[in-house]
Amino acid sequence: MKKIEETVTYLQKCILGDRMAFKAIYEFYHPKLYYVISRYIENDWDAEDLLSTAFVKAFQNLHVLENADRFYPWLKKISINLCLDHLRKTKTTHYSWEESLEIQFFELPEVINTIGEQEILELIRKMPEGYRTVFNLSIIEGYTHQEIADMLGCSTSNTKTQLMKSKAWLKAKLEKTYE
Amino acid sequence: MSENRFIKKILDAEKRPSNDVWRSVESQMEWAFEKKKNSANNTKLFLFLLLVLIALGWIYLSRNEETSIMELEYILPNENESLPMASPKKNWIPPQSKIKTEGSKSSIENTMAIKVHQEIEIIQSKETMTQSHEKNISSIINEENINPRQIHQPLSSLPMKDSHPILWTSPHLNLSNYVNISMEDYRLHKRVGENLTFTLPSGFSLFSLLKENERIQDAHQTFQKLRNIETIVIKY
Repeated sequence: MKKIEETVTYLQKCILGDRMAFKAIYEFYHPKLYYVISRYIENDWDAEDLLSTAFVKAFQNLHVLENADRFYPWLKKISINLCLDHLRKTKTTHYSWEESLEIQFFELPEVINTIGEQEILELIRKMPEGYRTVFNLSIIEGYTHQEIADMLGCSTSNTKTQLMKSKAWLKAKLEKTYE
Repeated sequence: MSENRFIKKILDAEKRPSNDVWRSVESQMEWAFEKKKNSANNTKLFLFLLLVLIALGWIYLSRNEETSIMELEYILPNENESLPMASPKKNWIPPQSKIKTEGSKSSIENTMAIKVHQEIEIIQSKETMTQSHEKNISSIINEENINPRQIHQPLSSLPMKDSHPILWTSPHLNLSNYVNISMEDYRLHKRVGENLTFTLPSGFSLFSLLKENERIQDAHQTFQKLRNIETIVIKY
């Protein structure tokens, strides 16, 4: 399954309850989705649990999906929401800080283009949870600070601060590890 | 620029889980399928029960209609049947209140009910008449010591002795109350072998009178008439 047309066909079969189609869809999308979830969730067990939950939730709500071409973004959105719910439940992250830092733009070092995906993932997963969530949502997923603030239930100034800190943290790590 | 390449690299990145997550997905899907199936089964069961209830209700209603028709047939006797055989319910009270209160019923149904009520009244009155009629006959029979078996037999089947059936052939019949003739005289006349004819004041004979009133139900009228006769002239 390499083309979107094939995905659409399989999704139509999924709606009719074809288990082989479910399996095919899972086999095609689960590595990418697992990488996404792993960026948010540090623990592999929790990440795998959330991966299965995301697929089940998607399969159960396939009839809601209006455009089958947009299946992966929809599936990814489900997964991210599940991750945020999970983080909210664990309550280890607090998004309100008293300190007010001057927002600066940190350029990521060039070395980041030379390292592999798995190393990047390991670096991101080592980030403090607050940094990691805002970094993923802002830099990788492309959400605005307002959207992130709404999702996390905090102010935009907090998300901006978190993002700045996460970049600083990553830069320091990369310089320390690869230079 | 380097950030864009970095982001693209992350977005295209893949990672495979160490455990068999599909098994977990499948089991959860199985549960979801079962739940959906159960839900569908429950819906089917609900619809089935609903259909059964509707069918039962329909049967109940149709049975009620049949019962009401049966009641009508029961109340209204067949034209071929004699009225007493119809045996309607005694002291049956017509559902007048029902007729009045059930405004939804058609006027035809109300009219039918009224007609039925009237019919029942007629039947009841007829039955009362018949009962009193039979009572009179039985009282007369008892009074006159008439053998009921003979009375209830048709005239033609009675043993013909002399030319005077019934009255004269009955050994239990005592005509002394009705005619001025004693049994001794009767026996005398009988021995002679002459025909006896009672001439009634009205001009017709007792024999002809009885012959005209062959019907058992009317026999008592004969006796009633006989009671009123004071003198019977015997012709030899």
